[in-house]
Amino acid sequence: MTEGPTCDDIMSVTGLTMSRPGLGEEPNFLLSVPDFKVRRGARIGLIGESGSGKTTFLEVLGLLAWPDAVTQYDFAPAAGQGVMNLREALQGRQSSLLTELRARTIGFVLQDGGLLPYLTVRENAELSQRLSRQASAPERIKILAQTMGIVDYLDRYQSTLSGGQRQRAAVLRTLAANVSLLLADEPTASLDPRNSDAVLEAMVHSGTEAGATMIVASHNADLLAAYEFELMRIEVSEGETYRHATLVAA
Amino acid sequence: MMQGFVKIPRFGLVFALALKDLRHGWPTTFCLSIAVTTTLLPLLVLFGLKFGVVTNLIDALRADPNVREIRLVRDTELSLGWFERLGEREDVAFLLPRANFLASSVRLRAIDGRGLLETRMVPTAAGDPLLQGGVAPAGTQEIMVTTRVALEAKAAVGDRLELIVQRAVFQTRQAKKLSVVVIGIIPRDLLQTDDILVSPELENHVETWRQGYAVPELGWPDDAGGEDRLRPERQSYSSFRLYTADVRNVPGLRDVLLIEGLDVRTRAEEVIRVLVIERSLTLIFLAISTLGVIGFVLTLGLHLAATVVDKARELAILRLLGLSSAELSLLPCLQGIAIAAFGAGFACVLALIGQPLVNRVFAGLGGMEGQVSHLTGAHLLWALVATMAAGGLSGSAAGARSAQIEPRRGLRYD
Repeated sequence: MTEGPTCDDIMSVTGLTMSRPGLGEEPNFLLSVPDFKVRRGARIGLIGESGSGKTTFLEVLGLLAWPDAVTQYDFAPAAGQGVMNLREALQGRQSSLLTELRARTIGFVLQDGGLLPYLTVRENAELSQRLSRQASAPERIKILAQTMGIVDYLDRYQSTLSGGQRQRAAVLRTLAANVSLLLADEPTASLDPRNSDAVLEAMVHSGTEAGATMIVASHNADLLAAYEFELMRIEVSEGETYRHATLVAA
Repeated sequence: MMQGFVKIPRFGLVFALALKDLRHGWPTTFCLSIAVTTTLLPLLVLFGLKFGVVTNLIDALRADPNVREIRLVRDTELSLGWFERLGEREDVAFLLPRANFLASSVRLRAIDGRGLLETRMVPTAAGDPLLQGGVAPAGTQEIMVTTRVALEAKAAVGDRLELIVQRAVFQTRQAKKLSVVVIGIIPRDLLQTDDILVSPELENHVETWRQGYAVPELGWPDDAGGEDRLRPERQSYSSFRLYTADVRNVPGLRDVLLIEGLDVRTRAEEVIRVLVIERSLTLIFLAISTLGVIGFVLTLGLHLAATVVDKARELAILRLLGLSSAELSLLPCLQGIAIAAFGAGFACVLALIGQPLVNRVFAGLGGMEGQVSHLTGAHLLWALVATMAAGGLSGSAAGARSAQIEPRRGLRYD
């Protein structure tokens, strides 16, 4: 039997299944998450082969996708402020409610950074703050930029930044919104080892200072391990009609 | 905690994003804005010409107050209630009861006895279009005459004339004289007859005396002698003087009176001719502008829809960051409005600058005086707002499409 989240847990998910349709109507992929619990402030590394469902799982954790079934989905974004049972909201597909919750509490770092090209780095971060219904905090943006070594690039557009700078700017945008949960989908996939290390270091350092819980999907288990991520693996087995992925401790 | 979430669209934020995106892609924005300008500018010039021509024709009619006059051809009996009802209509500018035709004829003679003019009294009062803002004769001793009467009587403003009223009593003629002063002289072309303008009071007294009653106010006895016989309180009048509020009202009010069985004479046909020209020009303008607007809405709409497809991931990232689908759907609409505003604003400026040139090129067209092209600030404002509305409409399909973009698409890097 699964226990509910303690005050130290930010998230507790049990009995979750999520399928992806293939070319026909029948699903060709099924992700199972028997039990997933995350302590507040923890660093979780999701590893698995390409197509194993890492992004799909991040979609579920980011309240972006509707699971086929879920027994328990508790979320406690702020310490000491109660636990939200999101099972009904997810099963009822209460999109607007989950959009609001996501904007206020969850941040994403995308594989290519995902900065909006028509905004400067500073404007991207300010937009993130505004969309998370927070008062504008330019000082916070500046401090984070200093920590991440991109303070000189705040007024530049992404087209003038290198890959590593873009990723750091993307981390800055996410942390500027003061999110509780940071989800990163292969944030270093397109970077060389030196930049990968720099980006992850900036993310871990700033994220830890901000008190954010981090869940990072990556192929690079060694890099995650180097930054003391607790690794979880998505194992894939080939069924007769579909692939079955299960989250297990690495 | 979840109950407290506010979901009011953040128009300011979305509008700022829309503008920044347009600024970032300024070459495209510029081209689309110029496309709007090139669509709208000919329409503005065409509308300016249409409005200018019609305004010229209407103004020519408005310059003559007689165009607004509706005359009763034959005397009849019109109750006080009828006058009250008609006077309340918005298309009536001036309405005055009038004595019967026969009772209004008088003679006018200079004080020195030279010349005797047969004339007819026309009642007037403040607001009479024939007075053109001047003061109306009041009481029983003031009149206004035409230039021709003034010449024949050798009278100027301030001169006294003798008004002679006659009646037949048992085959004998009785006459009364009244000294009146000329308080104004109006152009004969305005009145088109050699009638004189008097107060309704004087006209009423003359009619009363002519009908055999006494007029104590003037010291005129009745026709029987002895104790004066006074006229009972009036319940009706024989005719009226009527002017519509505008020349455009003449045909409509004429028809109302004809339906009531009153035989009236107007210059409605002149008005109708101009209104037909106006309607024809309006139809031509509407046909051309409809085609222009359809083309504009389709061009801009298709561009915005294609942009949504191109920028689907950017839009998905906005959703990922917390923009609601309703807010996202506003984005292309606001961009359509902004592009339309840029283009229309430029077209309005060009139209204003070019208007004097158009007027010089078409000066004297068809014998018209004044501006042939006439665009007012209100027209340009209307054009700007209408174009912006069309811009918003053109972005609606793209908006509907962007509302369907799921935030999870932002997570997938293709």
